[in-house]
Amino acid sequence: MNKLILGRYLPGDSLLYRLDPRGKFLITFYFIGIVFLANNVASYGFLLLFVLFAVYLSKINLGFFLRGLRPMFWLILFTVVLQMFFTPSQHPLWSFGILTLSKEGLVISAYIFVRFVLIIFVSTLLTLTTTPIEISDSIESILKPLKAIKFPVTQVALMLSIALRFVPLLIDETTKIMDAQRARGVDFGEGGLIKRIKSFVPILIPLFVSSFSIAYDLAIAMESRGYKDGEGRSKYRVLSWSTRDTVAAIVMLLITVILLFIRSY
Amino acid sequence: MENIISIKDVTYTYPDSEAPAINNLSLDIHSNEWLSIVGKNGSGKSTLTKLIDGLIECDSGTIEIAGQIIDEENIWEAREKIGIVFQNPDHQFVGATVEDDVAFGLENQGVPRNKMIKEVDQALQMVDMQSYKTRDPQSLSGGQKQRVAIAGVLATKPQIIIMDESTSMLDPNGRKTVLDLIKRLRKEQEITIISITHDIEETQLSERIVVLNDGRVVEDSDPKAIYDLGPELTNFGLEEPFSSQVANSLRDTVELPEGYLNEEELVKSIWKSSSNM
Repeated sequence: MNKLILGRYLPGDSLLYRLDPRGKFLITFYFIGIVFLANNVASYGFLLLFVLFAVYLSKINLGFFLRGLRPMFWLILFTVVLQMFFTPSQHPLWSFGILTLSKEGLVISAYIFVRFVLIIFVSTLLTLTTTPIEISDSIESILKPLKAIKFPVTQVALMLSIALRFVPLLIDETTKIMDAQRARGVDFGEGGLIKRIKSFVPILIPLFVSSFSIAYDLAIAMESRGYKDGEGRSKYRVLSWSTRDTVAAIVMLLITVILLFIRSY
Repeated sequence: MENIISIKDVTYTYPDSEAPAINNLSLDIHSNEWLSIVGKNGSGKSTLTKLIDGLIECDSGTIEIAGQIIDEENIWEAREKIGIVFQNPDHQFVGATVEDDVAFGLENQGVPRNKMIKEVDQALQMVDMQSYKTRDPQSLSGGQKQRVAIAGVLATKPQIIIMDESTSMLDPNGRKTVLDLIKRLRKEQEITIISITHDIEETQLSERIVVLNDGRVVEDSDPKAIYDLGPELTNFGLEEPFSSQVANSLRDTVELPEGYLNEEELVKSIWKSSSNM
């Protein structure tokens, strides 16, 4: 269970690790946006090349990215198959009832497939090279303008970082409770769906209670260390924007220009 | 000797209970002493810690810290003088990494970043954890986490450190490293330590033991006098020291001096008595 949530960050060192997390965060979303601009073989090919180049720059084994596709496998398959057989066409290669297989359908489903790969690869790239705490820091930094409308940005960021910090602890807690309930004869793997869902109640309630007691302890500990309300605090972790981050942003702009050119070509 | 904490006639009752947790308690804690507070569960030890740090407010009586009676106005100032290390290492680790956690108290005081970096380094050096600086808490042992907690407290340079059963969840090895660290700190700097504990070894290291029962001070003297109480200690939630247990079982056959003997004294007495035979 641990691997599922936190195995995402892969400690390492390469250009992509050193980029400012704010930049990476925004670029990732920007890239996901411009993926939808691609409309022909050349533009998809261009984006795919770019992403593969980024993967190469990260110095991370391609296997980690392919593994990122795995949880999305059924969704991808479903969407691709849907596109393949339901794209209306003047010249079907094969048809049966409402199902039609055509050249256009095949091409569109291939595009959809590449689109999925692109989006999953770039987001995996972000999570593999950026620690959760860096992501939470970038969110804080990006949301900073909201302070103007009295949105408690620093408090939310601290909440987020504490939540991240306590995920592994709560997972440990869950494992402990499950073992304790198993020792009392609860069987988690058996029975129908309803029974299985029901068997989670004896996990959730103790987990809920213990989270409250952890929260209470933590609040006392934080207060004893002088935490008031998040105002007037200084920051130990700072993000620094350097030349390479500006370069990365310019590269993204160039990619967009090239993409627009190829698109209309 | 100068008093760093002076508690006068303090009473506190938890909102949902009838009997007071702290009952008209007075206690003076001297500067730079190592004081142990012992007592059964529910004797009011932890309540006393929270009162001293102003985490809860006393119903009556006053608490004076470093010459200032604490009230709502100056509580944050008083808190800067006190650092608490709690029982559960996991429930007090705020930061995502070791250095972030040590910096938390400094961040709260609004210390500028370049000063903070220096002080985090220093504090980690004091507890001998600088090589773990960028590690996340999940990869540390209990003893290491408590050492980080102590570093977090030391970074803010308090005059008083309260160890609220901080060694009770640690394995013997972890406990030893934490106690050795406290011993060393006491040698290196002027600091008042208040240990709230069940651990007999921890009390042996301290200079004075205060026994609480039902929210009152029932005994207050140096460790030797407390250990002289013998089997009565169990009433206070303490075990008899190992050397006392050995001495008691030997007393029938070997002639030993009355009262508590530490390990060294016991060994010496046994040597003497055998040579008499």
